[in-house]
Amino acid sequence: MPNVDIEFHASYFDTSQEVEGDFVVFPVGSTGPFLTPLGVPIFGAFPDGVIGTPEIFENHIRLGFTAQYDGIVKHDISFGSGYYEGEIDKVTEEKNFGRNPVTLLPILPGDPVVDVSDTPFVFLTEDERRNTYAYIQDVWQFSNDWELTAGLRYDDYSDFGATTNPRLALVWSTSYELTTKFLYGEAFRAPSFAQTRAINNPLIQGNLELQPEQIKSYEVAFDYRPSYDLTLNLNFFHYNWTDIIQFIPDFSGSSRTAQNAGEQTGKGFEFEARWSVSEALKLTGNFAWQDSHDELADAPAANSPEKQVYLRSDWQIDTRWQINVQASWVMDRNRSYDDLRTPVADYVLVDMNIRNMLSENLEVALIVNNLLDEDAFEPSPNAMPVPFIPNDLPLAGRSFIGEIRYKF
Amino acid sequence: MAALAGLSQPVLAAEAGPQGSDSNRALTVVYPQIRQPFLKVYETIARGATKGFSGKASELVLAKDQSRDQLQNQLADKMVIVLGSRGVSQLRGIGLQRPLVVGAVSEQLSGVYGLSMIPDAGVVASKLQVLAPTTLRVFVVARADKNIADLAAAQIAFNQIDVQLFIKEATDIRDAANIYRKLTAELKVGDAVWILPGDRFVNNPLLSILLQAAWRSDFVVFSSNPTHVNRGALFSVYPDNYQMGVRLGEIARQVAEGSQAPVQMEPLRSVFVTVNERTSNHLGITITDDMKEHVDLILPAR
Repeated sequence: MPNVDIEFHASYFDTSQEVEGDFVVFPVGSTGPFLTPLGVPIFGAFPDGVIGTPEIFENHIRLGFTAQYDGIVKHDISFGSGYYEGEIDKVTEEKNFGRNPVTLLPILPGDPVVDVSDTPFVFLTEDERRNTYAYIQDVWQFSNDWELTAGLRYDDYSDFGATTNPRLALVWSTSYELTTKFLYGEAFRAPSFAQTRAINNPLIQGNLELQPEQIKSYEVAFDYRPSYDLTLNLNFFHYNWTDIIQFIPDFSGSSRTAQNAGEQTGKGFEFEARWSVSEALKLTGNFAWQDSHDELADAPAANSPEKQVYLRSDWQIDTRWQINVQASWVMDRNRSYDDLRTPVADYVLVDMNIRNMLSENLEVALIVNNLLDEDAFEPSPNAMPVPFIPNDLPLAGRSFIGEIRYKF
Repeated sequence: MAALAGLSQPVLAAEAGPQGSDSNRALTVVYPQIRQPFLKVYETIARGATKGFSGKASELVLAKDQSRDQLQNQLADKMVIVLGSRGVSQLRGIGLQRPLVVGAVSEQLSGVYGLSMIPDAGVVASKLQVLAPTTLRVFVVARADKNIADLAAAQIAFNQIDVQLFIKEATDIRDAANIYRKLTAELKVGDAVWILPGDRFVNNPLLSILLQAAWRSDFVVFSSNPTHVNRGALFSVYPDNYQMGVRLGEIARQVAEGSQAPVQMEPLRSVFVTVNERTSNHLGITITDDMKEHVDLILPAR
């Protein structure tokens, strides 16, 4: 067929997650995550620790085609369709908690590890998911300086049904220096197997009734190049994210079950600058600000930073020496509305990389990460009655790495 | 690197195809040591030359202070392709037995075989005809003492596609800037500015002024420097270094075999063409499949 380019693709992926030896989930002497609704441990101490060795064997098949048709002047049409099948074909587990599949009695602290593979007491059900999809997109140059991209994608999943998602992008070459973009998109995220099929887990339970998460996003973007050496980008965005899959506490104990419970809206902007100060020195930087709101809790959304600054300089001192320095400043991360801990502190991480090309084949480098040895933490998730990791997740302190590269 | 200090062993010896029994059938591609990424241009041309020569071939990288005696000893009875102006001046007059084949120089030299880096004006004109077919007038700003003679041939080539070539002579960069400023005020749809190969007049600020005016007044800017396309020139025609090397290798083989072709440099016809899609859209030029046959790279709109 004239003016049509078609590409077919097929792939098969077989993978497994296997555990060598016993995987100790909670340390020796711990009472584990088994708590009453009041936070009191149900069991005494586990003398060998809480042990679980979950293993998964899975395969994924993908078939499809993409086609491009440019037979209509000023239109560039692409379309495609495909099929996906993913299967968890084997799940095995040995553990020293839960219920013994032979005696049906609880496995108690001090009991040996029990093989629960191929029983209803394993951590995940074996299952498969099929997805068929089709999409079409047209890039239409409807005027000299205006281009409209319109696309539509349809997905049908065997486990939760169909979803249709459009996208629109209007690009305007406003002037020699400036390009302006108006963007709208809808998208979804399918629930994972762990979110739908986790069972017998003391912490989280899957939910076969889950629907995909949905997001609608609006964006206005400016790409401004006032000179050859300077590029400035400014983006404003707004989004509405619904049916967010969250693990909601169960009334009956310390576990949580996946639900399409959350809704979040957000707005913000990102500013980026790239400046070639000279042949040898390049500076880049960006600043991002966002205000996201947890609609159900009517509170600021948790964990993601409200402000971020990133700066980087790349300096080619001469033909041999090169220095890169970058700084990342993370600010204003909110706790979840029901998290009583003090706010997690802001941090600045500075990294440096000094490199010397000793010859065409040989180069050496000294890399220093977290040069200022900042005490930096990422927030750990909240849990009731207390977070499992209460003191947040520490990032690495100052580290030195030496590197020698030789090209043959 | 060690190979560069003094007269070195050839850094590469490739054997392909028939070998001559005497050293006249052996090719050495000589080029000056310069820093990357520029050295890569010579390396690519040398690779093409080895392919085009189809015989025993080696490369010699010249240090700045290379001894002429050593060069003479090593190259006297060889077929030699020399690349770059510095390479030519280092090899001139060392007493080679075979005629020199010259490549990668920005001017036409007399008394040698070879190819310059300057695309043939006929090829440039044919690309203009395909990519901006409504162009009627092309303006060039040329160095009064240097480019004018070459442009007489270009005028004929453009006339053949019914385009008039107007040559504006400039004595220095300030003079050129004034001419460009006048042009930017006068040019309109159907006009084009050709930035000549090896142009030293158009610096970054002047290029910005020219391209802004071209955007406002819908005239075409084309050049022989691919980075100008990144910045908004409609298209650029520049050497296909590998194919240029292949042709140099073929010329060297013909000379080695005693070809009686006149001793002169050939115009460069092996070129790459890059087009800026944002600029072509702005000018209302739709890049059709037929046009794509003449284009090697389309720089997508932002």
